Amino acid sequence: MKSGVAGVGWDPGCLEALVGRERLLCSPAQLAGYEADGLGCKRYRPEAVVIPGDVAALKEVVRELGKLEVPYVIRGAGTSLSGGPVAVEGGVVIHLSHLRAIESINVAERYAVVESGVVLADLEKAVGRHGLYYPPDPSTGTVCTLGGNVASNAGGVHCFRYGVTSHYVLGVEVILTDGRVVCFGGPGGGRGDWREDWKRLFIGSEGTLGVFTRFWLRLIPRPEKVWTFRATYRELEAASEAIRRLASHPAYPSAIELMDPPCVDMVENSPMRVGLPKGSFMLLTEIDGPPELVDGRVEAIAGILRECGSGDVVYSDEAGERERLWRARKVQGGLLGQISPDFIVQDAVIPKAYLGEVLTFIYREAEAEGIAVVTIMHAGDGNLHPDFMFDSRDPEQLEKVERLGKNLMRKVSEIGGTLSGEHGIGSDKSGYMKAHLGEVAEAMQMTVPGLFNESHQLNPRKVFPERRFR
Amino acid sequence: MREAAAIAGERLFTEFLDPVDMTGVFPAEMRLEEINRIAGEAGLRFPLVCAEGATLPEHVRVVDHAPASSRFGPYVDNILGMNWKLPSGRMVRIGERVVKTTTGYDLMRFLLHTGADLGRPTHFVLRLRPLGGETLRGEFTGDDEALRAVGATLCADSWNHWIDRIDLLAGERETVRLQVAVDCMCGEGERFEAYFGQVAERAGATFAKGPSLAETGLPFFSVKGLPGEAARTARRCVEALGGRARALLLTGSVLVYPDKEVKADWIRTLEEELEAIGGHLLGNVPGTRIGRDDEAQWIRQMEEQWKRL
Repeated sequence: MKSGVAGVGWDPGCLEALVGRERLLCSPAQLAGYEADGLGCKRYRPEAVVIPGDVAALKEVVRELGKLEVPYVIRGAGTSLSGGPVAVEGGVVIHLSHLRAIESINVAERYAVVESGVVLADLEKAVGRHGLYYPPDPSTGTVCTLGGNVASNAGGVHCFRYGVTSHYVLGVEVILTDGRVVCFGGPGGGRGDWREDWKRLFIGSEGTLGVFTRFWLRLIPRPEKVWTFRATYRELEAASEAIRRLASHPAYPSAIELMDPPCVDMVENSPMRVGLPKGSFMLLTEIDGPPELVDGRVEAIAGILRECGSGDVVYSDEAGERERLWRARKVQGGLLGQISPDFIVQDAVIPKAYLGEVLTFIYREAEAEGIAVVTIMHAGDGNLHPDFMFDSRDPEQLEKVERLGKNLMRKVSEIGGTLSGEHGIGSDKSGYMKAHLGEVAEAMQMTVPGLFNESHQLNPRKVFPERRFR
Repeated sequence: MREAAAIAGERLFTEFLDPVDMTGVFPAEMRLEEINRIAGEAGLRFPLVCAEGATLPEHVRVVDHAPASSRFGPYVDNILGMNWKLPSGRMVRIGERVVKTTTGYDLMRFLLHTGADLGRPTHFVLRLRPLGGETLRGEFTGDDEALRAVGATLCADSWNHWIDRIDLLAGERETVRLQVAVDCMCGEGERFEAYFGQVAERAGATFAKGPSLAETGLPFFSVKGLPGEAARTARRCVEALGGRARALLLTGSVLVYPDKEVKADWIRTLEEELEAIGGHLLGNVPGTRIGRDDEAQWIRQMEEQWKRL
């Protein structure tokens, strides 16, 4: 484990007066749970964790840390997969688990006001009672927080049609690093009393510009009916053609998901098997809407899947059966954790025409390194998640996986893709930013933290490696 | 069709149309009718059109939502990237050519409507949408209460995920009208027509299919506020400024086409009300976008640093 470099000349106990003894964690056993995020293999122990009970206490903590010149990091559920909410330079982790109020749901104007520590699934349940829908749905939805979602501009399986988190943020309330609380936007979804639309820079800023306390989130009417379709293909070309035709079809599927043959085989070789043909690509797609409309589209979608060469197209609008169709896709993440000591879920977006080339590249590189890989993809968006399995206790394996990630990112940049579609850059991919952006664009990017967090005291070394506090 | 290509080094976007990803790069000075002619050859369209004869920079200077934003969202969610000319004349790429990114700070969305002296776009990467195969356009007519009920139903119903515009027009005729447009799968037009008929009947309004709708046109200015206030704001603008206004009921935007002088104090009052709910005004209006003292420093700092790039 790497140790923090802060800790000289300050006593974490000084925060006790601000939050109370029970909300200040300093013992090694308490801090261990905050050493890593979902990336897992890279661990950095903070010197303290504070859990403010409300926004007022949080504001005081931010002010105090500013005076103490101690680096600090904001954390929700810690489900980030990019090494984002971790204390790379030591210092303090501020855990927002107590900012969990869904303050209001305005049904007539279709927006919700929530604190940043609200769990996504809690919001979904709350708005669902009013026939409303908040579409971003990252796979960690039962635990991840909206603060983390906004900080990483989270996506999910249904963002092909519905869009990502930034499409639903009307306004943000932020504690700036100088302790001031400001709102960018609000229920009106515009700039508010600012000349520029600063919220655009804060959404997806990975906790490097300010501390989110509250959001105004746009809601939409919940689609009454959903049809789920599953098909398998022996050849990637056939699956790719199905993806292309689905994505450009005016029935506009809400999700188009792909699992590659190694991933299908992993599921079928496990106790969680669902009966998919081994060695096949599995395609899942959904359409939704009012029954009068969506029921009339079912045959068109099933027809595309069959015409592209699948002999086992199954589909349903019944909840239990739909869950069964999703089962292979939903269990694959848990299986990775069971069969491998560690795994890294990579995240890249590619022009879809390059899917075959990129998958071949991944297989060839992984085989050369002797690292197992399975791949899932939000295929409608071209958002690829190769999962590399390894054992971080073996430094050589970790090195190989890092090399695989680096080579993949280089390939993705070369073909016009991007380094991250929904996980963010964090500390994991910051080293690839200059090569991807070029020097001028990187310099333009670096002016942004220069405005709001010039010393990089807040979440240092994330997004860009030059963002060092010390 | 032109091939996709990204230039190494400065990585500027070159013109392409990618029918698989449904994206394309187009010069900033290209009019939207030309963009849609090119996209249409691949069965695609860029739906956010207020005036076909205008360019995208002309659009985003005065509007952030078009009628089709009801279904597809604002311009910032449909423009993926830009080639950007810095004040120094240097060209740089902003954003991506893929539909989803969390790579770095979102300068793309920040810069699209900026009023700061940070440069200008020369090319846009657009997210295009499939042409549906069948279109349906029509109008609801009735008294204020009936149209209010129609608007409320359309905005609360998941049918609206598929409706290209839900616009209330104020000021053009003696009666207010509510226009809808749908770009749907072949054979679905009848289902939409039946749905609109049911909505009209329940609300005591009348629905009639129309062969065409007048072009929206670029407004003098636009308002972004709460959806539930859009119709009232449109009427208020027409009462004070004459001309006409179009309330985009689902998004809360109002496009305003006055025929009287827009007085600075009147507009400032409206703007202050919008600011209080996190809304704003955009366009040719005097004295707006004053901003706050604390951001003047941020803008100045950005402008100074970017001039040196």
